[in-house]
Formats: sequence, structure tokens, C-alpha cells
Amino acid sequence: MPDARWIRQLALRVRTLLLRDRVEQELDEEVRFHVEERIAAEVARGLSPKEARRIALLAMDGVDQTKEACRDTRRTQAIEHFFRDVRYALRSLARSPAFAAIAILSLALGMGANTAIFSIIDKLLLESLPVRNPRELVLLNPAGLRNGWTAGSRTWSYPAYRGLREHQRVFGGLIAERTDAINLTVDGATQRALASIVSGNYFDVLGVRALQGRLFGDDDDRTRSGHPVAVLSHGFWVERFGGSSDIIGRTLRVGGHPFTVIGITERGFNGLEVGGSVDLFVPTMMLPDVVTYTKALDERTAYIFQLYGRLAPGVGRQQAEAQLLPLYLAELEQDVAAMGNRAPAGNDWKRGTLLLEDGHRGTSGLRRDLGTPLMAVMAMTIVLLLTACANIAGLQTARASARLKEISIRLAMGASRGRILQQLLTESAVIALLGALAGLWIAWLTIRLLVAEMGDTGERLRLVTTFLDARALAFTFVFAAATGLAFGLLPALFATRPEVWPGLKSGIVADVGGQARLRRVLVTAQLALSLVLVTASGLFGRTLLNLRHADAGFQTERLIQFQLNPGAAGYDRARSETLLHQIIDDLQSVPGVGRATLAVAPVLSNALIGFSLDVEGYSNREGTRARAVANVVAPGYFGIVGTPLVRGREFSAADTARSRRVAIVSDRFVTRYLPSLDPLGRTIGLAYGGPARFYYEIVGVAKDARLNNLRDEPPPTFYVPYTQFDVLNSSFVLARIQTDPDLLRRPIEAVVRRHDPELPVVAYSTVDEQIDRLLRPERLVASVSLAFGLLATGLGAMGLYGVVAFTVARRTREIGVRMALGAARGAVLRMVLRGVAGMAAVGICAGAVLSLALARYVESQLYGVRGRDLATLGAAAALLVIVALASGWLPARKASRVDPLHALRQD
Amino acid sequence: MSKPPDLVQGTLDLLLLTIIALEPIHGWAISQRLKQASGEALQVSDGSLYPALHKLEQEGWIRGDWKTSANGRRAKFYSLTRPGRRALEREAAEWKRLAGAISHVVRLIEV
Repeated sequence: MPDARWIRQLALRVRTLLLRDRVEQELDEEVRFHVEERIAAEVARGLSPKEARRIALLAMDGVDQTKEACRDTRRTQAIEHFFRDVRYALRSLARSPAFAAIAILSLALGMGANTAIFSIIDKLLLESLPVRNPRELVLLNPAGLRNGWTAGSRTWSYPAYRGLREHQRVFGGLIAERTDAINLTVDGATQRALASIVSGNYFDVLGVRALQGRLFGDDDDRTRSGHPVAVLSHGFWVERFGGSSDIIGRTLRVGGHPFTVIGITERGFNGLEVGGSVDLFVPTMMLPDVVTYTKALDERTAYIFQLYGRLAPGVGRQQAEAQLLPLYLAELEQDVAAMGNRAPAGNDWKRGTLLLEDGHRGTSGLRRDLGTPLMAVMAMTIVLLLTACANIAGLQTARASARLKEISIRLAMGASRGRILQQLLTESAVIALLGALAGLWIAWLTIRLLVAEMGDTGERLRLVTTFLDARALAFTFVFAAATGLAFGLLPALFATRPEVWPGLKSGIVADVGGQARLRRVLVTAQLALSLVLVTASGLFGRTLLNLRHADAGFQTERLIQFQLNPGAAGYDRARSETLLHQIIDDLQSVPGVGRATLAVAPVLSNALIGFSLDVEGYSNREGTRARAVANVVAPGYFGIVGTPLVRGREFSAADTARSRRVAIVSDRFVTRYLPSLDPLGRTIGLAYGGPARFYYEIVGVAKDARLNNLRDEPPPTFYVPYTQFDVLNSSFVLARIQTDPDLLRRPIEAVVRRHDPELPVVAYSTVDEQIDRLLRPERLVASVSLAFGLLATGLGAMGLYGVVAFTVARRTREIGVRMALGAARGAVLRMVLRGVAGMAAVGICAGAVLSLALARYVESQLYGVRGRDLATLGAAAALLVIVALASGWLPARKASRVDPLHALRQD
Repeated sequence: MSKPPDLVQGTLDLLLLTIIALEPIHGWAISQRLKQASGEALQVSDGSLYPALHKLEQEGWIRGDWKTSANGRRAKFYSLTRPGRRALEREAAEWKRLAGAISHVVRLIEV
């Protein structure tokens, strides 16, 4: 027998809980034994058996009371009561399955959707990078004026990075990073992969550790092209190599050059772009091997790296900015000096400023694309949660008032107030728990649906959202459960107050009218919130339709595009040009492919290149230059994509590298910069941000086309021939086809492989598919708002039905009197429906005011429809009126069929 | 719900432990023994006895085993556990100290 007391106590308690019947039986036997022994003893003393029994029972102070006192010593009472309450709650929920189902479903929907969306938002918009002390990281932004060519903002040249790193005293470490799509060859098979080209101190400064092998350091980043080593990201290692450790030491080819795999990063680290999953990391010194800007590490004006610094302990951001600015200006000065005769004339560049931006969340294109739509979805989800809570509140109120009688009986039978409250609490908790479980499932489902809906964007989304956010789950759970609890418990608290007991006991049931009023308010609120969601879904739906049917300025049907990247396969400028030219020539002989052309920037991908320009005939005002976007195209482009020329000529094969440089500009370019002049024959100078370097003569004017996206008005645009543009690493091929694009894919790949087996066809897609991809955020918002609008309306309809049915039941007697006095059935029907219409009217007015007030927050998300669109609002209101009248109809008809005689005999 | 025993708080526990310490014994016999030993001076109702016994059992000081009683019926026999014996020694010492102090005070008043 164990000696320790606590073991004995525990064993007793477990026994009491598990062998409850046995323990009870023993208690009974023990007490009975005593009573019987006592009776026997008294009889032996000469008493009659009856008298003996009386004395024995008297001495026991009441057998049941004594037994209960014994049970009270067990200390398992609370647990036993709890289980009894849970059983009771489950039984009582099973008795009203409709209530249970609707309450649990409301809770689950509100919780699930909120948890899912918040999990995504948290990971994408709020969470820090998985590195050591992410809050110390800053992103260096050279704001203000700058010279040289800019490959995006917040970028730096490698020489400037070295200069800053050497002289700075404010960072514990300064790293350079850029990410490129590269061609990766493993065992003869070539695929596209994402490579981060990073300074040697990258892992060290970030505090990222190796899962296997080792990560490179500064010593692996000293000699140009001298460190062919690569580190794989954990995700890529698992996905591509199945997590096999014999990958360490193997050789891969990146851009045709051999690299040795030396290590795997720790799990969860995917580079500094949230939602972009870097596949491998290579040192900066290997940049010329990986991509083909051979001089990229030496050019002072090749702004291609992002710089992250880790602030040294005790150094504030502003202090660091102040100390870095002179270093930055010194670098700028060297840039200007290096530009020689292309250098800017004035001293404007000296106004450069340096900002240290928060770097703990990294950068994210996904965040930029999905941030606003996700916030819109989040807002709608919160509205849905509110309607769900209003729904639960209404249900609980109804249920509590229906149970007042039961509660009064139990109070009268001697149940303590605490026990009754405890029991109601348990029931609310059971609902909350079941709702939470269903909510978890819905959250998981929602994330999966969103990820599937978002296609390849969803793939990136999947990377950021691997887990549900526990805080969101906890928050929505507490919020929804508290609502249910409050509305379930408050009436009970009121009903069990000692001063109302007499009333309850005498059968006068408490303030039912008050309950009905509360329920009407809740239903009205539900209708108002439903109107907001339905209106939103109308607005977003129309936006989607308008965008789908927007005139792109070119023909999107049967147009395919795909990317070829000879630069990444080691081709130089001249060989790239020849290869691309030959490939489009050969493609046109593939059956089913019509004419083919090139465009460096794909259509509808927000990929046009921005330039500042000197336009002959347009005088630049102080500080402002002509700005335009450009595409680099091959002859035949305009005819093939279907953007008509309004003046001048197309590019032709005669426009070569050695002939005069020519450009075609868009209508808007002309109206913006050359409004009253003949554009043909004028020159534009491409400035790359600094002084003009190349001059092109305008030979044609094309109609405006929405090449970046469907939403924005087309900006001033110009086109130059691919033979006359100084960079040509990669290009998209555009082809008008006559047959199924899926059938053409293999023949097209075969043509490309014939020219170079290591050149992959990338991002093969029809332009219509690209439109689908482009409109995914819009479709997401539209479908979420539609789904939520319908759900909220459905819940509102149920709530309305419930409250009307309740009111009708309560007024049966009154209705009977009216009918006895001669009211027609139609009049009764109208009377009930008038009540419904009243609620609907108030709800819709409130909803309309709310919708109009919220309109300005969605304005930026809309296209072709205004936020305060009265037609949409009106249609939504009409829908809700119909739904409200329909759900009021059934109870109203029941009221109109009340039999006066029967009704008057009630009570 | 248990009625307060007509005894100084805690003394019922001491009495019960003392009686059980002699030999394993069932509830009915305990009540008999209490009556005899105190010369009917101590009134412990049957209704207070069982909750007190169950409390001691829950404390882990005594344990109950089902055995056959003298008249051949099954009864729950209580016996002292080792922690129970320690508790008895502690309580007894405490009682002696208290009783000594009280009788000392009472003697002062008598003088």
C-alpha cells in the first residue's frame, strides 16, 4: 500500500469518479448496516421493532442528509456536478436541435472566418521575420533625388554597399541582398528557381543557423567568381530533394555554372521577402555567374541591392540616420563623378536623404498586392462576426425567456441559485466549445479555399499561413462565447434574484415584453449589418464585372505569352537577340500558332518599365521631368496584339541596332507632353533617372492600351524596338493562336528546346488566364462579400422568423379577440406583416446610413461604380425587404388562421 | 449540511483516531465504543459520525476495508494508516498540551 497521503487521496478520488455506482452502493450499505445494528440493539433492549426503527433513524439525523454530508467530504463534488451539468446541457441541446445547430453554426462561422483571415493578415502584414531580434533590423531607403539608373526604389549599388559597410559605426552588421529568378539544373533537368544573392555576413547578421552542413560567411565572399557555393532553403530542400541529407556536397548548376551545396538553412527561414520563398542563397561575389550583368558589382549606378542593417545596441534610428547621411552623400558624389559627361549639371543630387525604415517585417510583394483586399475582407468578416453574435444573443434571449418557468420550478424545489447559474453557464460553455470546434474546422477550410482561389498567389499565401493564429482564435472565441453567455445568463441572473422568486412561484412569468423588445432590436441590427454586407457584395461584384469588360486597348482573346530568359542561361546581348529572333520565326510555322512577337514586359502584369524622359518640344519645369512607361517590342507587335496605330508606322526588320533609333508613343503620351505639336519626327531622350543617354525619334502614335492592369487609366507610354534597347536578358513571346493553348504548349516547348535544351519556357499562359490572375484579389473580395452577405441575410431571416413567431404566439389571445370582434384574416395578416415591415424599415435605414458612412473606405477598391451607388444600395435594400417579408409570412399566416374560440379558451 | 458535533472542534477526530488505532473496527462498533469509553458523557449522533469518518478517510488517515463482522454480515472496517498514526500522535500531544493548560487555568479559578 502506498504510504504517501496524496497518492491515497488521489486514488480515492479517482475511484469515486470512475466507480461512482460502487462507491454509492458502499455508502448505502455502510449506513444501512449501522441502522440495522442499532435497530437490533434497541429491540434487544426490549423496544418494539417499530419504536427501535424510529430511534435508529432519528439518531442518524435523516439517512439521506447524512449520506449527502458524507458525499460532501469527497471533494469530487465540483467535478461530478460539472459532468452532470454537461450531460444535462447536451440533453437539453438535443431536445432543441434547431437552436443548438443555429447557435453553434453562427459561432463557428463568425469565429472560423475571423480566425482564418486574421491568421493570414497577421502572418502577411504584421509578423516579424524569423530571425534574431527582428526589431533591430532597418531597411536603408535612399530617398530623395538620385542619379543613374534605378531598378526599383530602396536599392543600392554594390560599391556604395561596400563603402557604407566599411565606414558605418551605427550597425552591428550591414547586409546586401537581391533576389533573382535563375535557371537551376539538377541532374540534367533545368527548372526556374529563386536565388537570393547575399553578402557573406547575411546569415551571421540575421542570426540564421544551419539545419545541416554550414552556411557561408564573409570568407566565402571575397574573390570575384571564386566561391561557387550555395545554401538551400529548408522549404526548397524538403520540396525538391525530399529532405535527404546526401545533398550536402553535391553540385548543382546555377545559370550554367557549377555550385556546391554546403548547407541547409534552419526551418521557417525563407529569405527576407514574406510570401516569396527563396530556394537557394549564393554569395554576392558569384553575381556575375548567376545573372549576366557582368559589370553589376562594379557599376556605381547599378542600383540592384537592398540593404538591411542591424542597429547596434543603444543606437536610435534617427541617430543612425544622422550619422549615415554624410557617408551616403559621399557615395552619391562618387556616383556623380563616375558618370563623367553624363553627370547632372546642377547640385540637386546633394539634396539626397537617407531613411532607415522598419525592417523587421522584411519586404513583400504579396503584402502590397493583397494588403488592401485582405483588410476589406477582414472588415467584412468582423461585420459577419457581429451579425453572428447578434444572432446568438437573440437565440439565447429567446431560450432564456422560454426557460423562466423551468427555472422558477427548480428554485421552488429548493435548488440553489448558484447551482442553477452554474448549470446555465455550463450550457453556454458547451455551445461555445462545440462552436469553437466547428469554427476551427471552418477556419481551416477557409484558408484552404482562399489559397486554392488565389492560384499561384495562393501558393505564396500557403507559405505564410501554415498555422491558425492562436490569438485570433482565442479572441473570437472569447468574444462570441461571452456574447452567448451574457445573453443567456443575464435573464437567468434576473430571474433567480431572490426578490422575484415570489412572482415566479405564483406563476407570473417575468418581463416577456422586454425580452421581445430586445429580440426585435437584435434582429433589426442583424438586418442593418446584412444590408451593409449585401451592398458591399453588390459593389464588389459590379467592380469585378466592370473590370472584366473594361476595354484593354488590345485584343485579349486567343493571345498567349511566355517568358524566355536567355540571359540567365549565359547568353550575352547579341546572342540573346539572335536566339529570340530565330525562335519567334520558327514558332510561326507551328500549326495553330499564328503570328508571334516579343515584348520584354508581359501584358497585364504591372511590369512596364518606368522612365524619366527629355521630350523635344516639352519643357521640363523645375524638378519635374516627363515620365512615361515603356515596353520593348519586336516588329509586328501592334498588329499581333491588336493595338491600332493612329499615325505613323510600325517597327520593322529595318529598325536595327545600327539604324536610327525609333520609338512609337501612345495617344496619352501625345496629349500629355506634345498637345499642340506634331509628334512625328520629334525625339525623346531616355534618362534612366539621370541625364538622357539615348535618343529615339518618334515614328508612330498608337492607341492607348492598358498594358499594366485593367484598373488604372493607361499612363503615357512609349515603345522601342528590342534591337535598339541596351538590355535584353529576357523577353516574353506573345502569339496569337488559332487553337487550344494547352495543345500548343508541347510543340512550342519543342521549338525552344531545339534551339537550347537548357532554356525553359516560363509562365506559359493565355492572356485571358492572366486576366483571371490579375483580378484574383477583386474576385476574392467579391466572392467573400457575396458569401458573407448571403450568410448574414440567412441568419437575419431566421432571427426575424423566430421573433415574429414568438410575438404571434404571445398575441394569440389578442388576435383571437380581434377576430371575434370581426377583424378579417387579411387584416390580421397585414397587422403582423406591418410589424415585420417596421423592423425591416428601421434595419434597412440604419444599414443604409452605415453603408453610406463606410463607402469611402471601399472607394479605392471599386472600379466603374461609386461607393455611394444608390442603385446598388436600393437593390440590396429591395432584396432584404423581400427576405424579411418572406420570413415574416409564415408566422403571419399562422396568426391569420387563429381560431377565435380556441384562442379565447387558452389559459 | 453536516451538523456541528457536540464536542470541542477537532476532538471528535482525535477520539475516532484513538478508537480506530486499537484495532480495525466498523462504524457501529465505533459508536458503541465511544459511548462506553466516555461513560455516555460524550454524545456523538450517528448522523455526525459518518461524515467525520469519511472526512478522515478522505484525508488519508484511515482506510476502509470490507470484512465480515462478528454476526456474519459485511461491514466496512476502518483501520489507521501510517500518516493517520502520525496524525494521532500529533493530535494527542496537542490535546494533552491544551487540556493541561485548561485544567491549570481552571485550578487557578477554583483557588
